[in-house]
Amino acid sequence: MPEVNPVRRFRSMSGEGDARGAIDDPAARLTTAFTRGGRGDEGAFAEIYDALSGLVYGVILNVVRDPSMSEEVAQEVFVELWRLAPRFDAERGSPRTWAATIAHRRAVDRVSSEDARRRRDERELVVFDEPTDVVIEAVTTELDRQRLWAALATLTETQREAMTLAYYGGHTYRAVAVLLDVPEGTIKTRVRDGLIRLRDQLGVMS
Amino acid sequence: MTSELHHLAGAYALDALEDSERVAFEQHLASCDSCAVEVADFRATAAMLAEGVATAPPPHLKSKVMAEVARTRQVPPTVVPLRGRRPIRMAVASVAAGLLIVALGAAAVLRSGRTDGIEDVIAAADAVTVNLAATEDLEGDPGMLRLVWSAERDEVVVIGDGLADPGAGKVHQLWLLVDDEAVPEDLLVPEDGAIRQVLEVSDRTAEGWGVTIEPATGSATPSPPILYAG
Ligand SMILES: [Zn+2]
Repeated sequence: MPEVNPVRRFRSMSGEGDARGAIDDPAARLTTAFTRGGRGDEGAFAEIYDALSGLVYGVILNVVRDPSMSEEVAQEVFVELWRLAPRFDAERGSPRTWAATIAHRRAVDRVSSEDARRRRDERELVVFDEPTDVVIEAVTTELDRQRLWAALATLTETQREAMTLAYYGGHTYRAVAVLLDVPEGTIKTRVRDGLIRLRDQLGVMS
Repeated sequence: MTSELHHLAGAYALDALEDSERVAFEQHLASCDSCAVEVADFRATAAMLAEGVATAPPPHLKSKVMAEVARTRQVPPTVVPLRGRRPIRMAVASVAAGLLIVALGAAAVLRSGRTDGIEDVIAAADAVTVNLAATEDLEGDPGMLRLVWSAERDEVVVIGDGLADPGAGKVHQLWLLVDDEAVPEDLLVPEDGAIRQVLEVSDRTAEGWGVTIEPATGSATPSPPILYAG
């Protein structure tokens, strides 16, 4: 049998905090809420909603731009989180990373069926005008905000630009290459190098 | 080609690949540990970017979500195969096999899987592509057989072409391999050797997959040889 081990990938998914810490740790509370929510406890899911709604809605709004469409997508994402809650496994990663991954993917799926050019024009305004201001707007805690800001500041301008267009703009790297009029390979490299630097700066690891 | 694929991990984690590239990368990801670790890290990093734009939704969204939650059924919990819990797993596997056979006797619809919902599985955030390679025991043209598996959705899409006829009263059956055990999954029902169907999967922790030829009602334990594996 050839060595195929997708399982390791899931198990190695990291979180930004140890979910099994003290009970007053928000990450631990959220994990506990997922355990209860996974047994059909709607009250626990209401807690999950409170903890994740800003994260989920914020990332969707940044990609989708339209508030009412963003609301629809956010609702879909939460219903999906509820549906899958019985399978939630803290070993596989933090609930926040899981939620952000699903939310971003759904947002990108939604906009890829929209008018790409219209969105592109809007996006250029949003992302290019004040990339750092967009980013620092509403982070959960002051500490997180400062860490993220400091980490983004260590990226080169071109790395930051490529990464924000891809992630917040919901563009493929090819589309980013067209927008910036640089070769595709260059964008691929900037995105990856930017992520590596951000990962190292933020101390994210699996 | 492979080294080029390594460099797609960043764009992949940001959902910035086109569909065809994503499929190619996921095939690579299934067998590349360094990319798997990198993608996990990058996803956690991307989540920090998401935290950076956190924005409170309109207050009425919560009641809409909770109303929808109240009428949405959850997926069944996964049986986690911890080492040392083998007897429980075996019991579960046997129950699953029993259900499979009963269900197959009752409804032909079930065993042919579904053809709707294929895109949902392929688009799942955790979807991975697994190419099933013909083993030495397969004689003749193996055709092509591939799975796209979403553990979170508990579903697998089976895509195949040019599959040999299993013979009268026989059928191809999919097996999920975990902890050196083969867990019976649904039957594959190709038409003219081609297959495109969604099967529900009984275990999220698959370490591998296999296909055998079994009697038409399916089996609880695989009949050697395994013809395809991945
Ligand atoms: Zn690789």
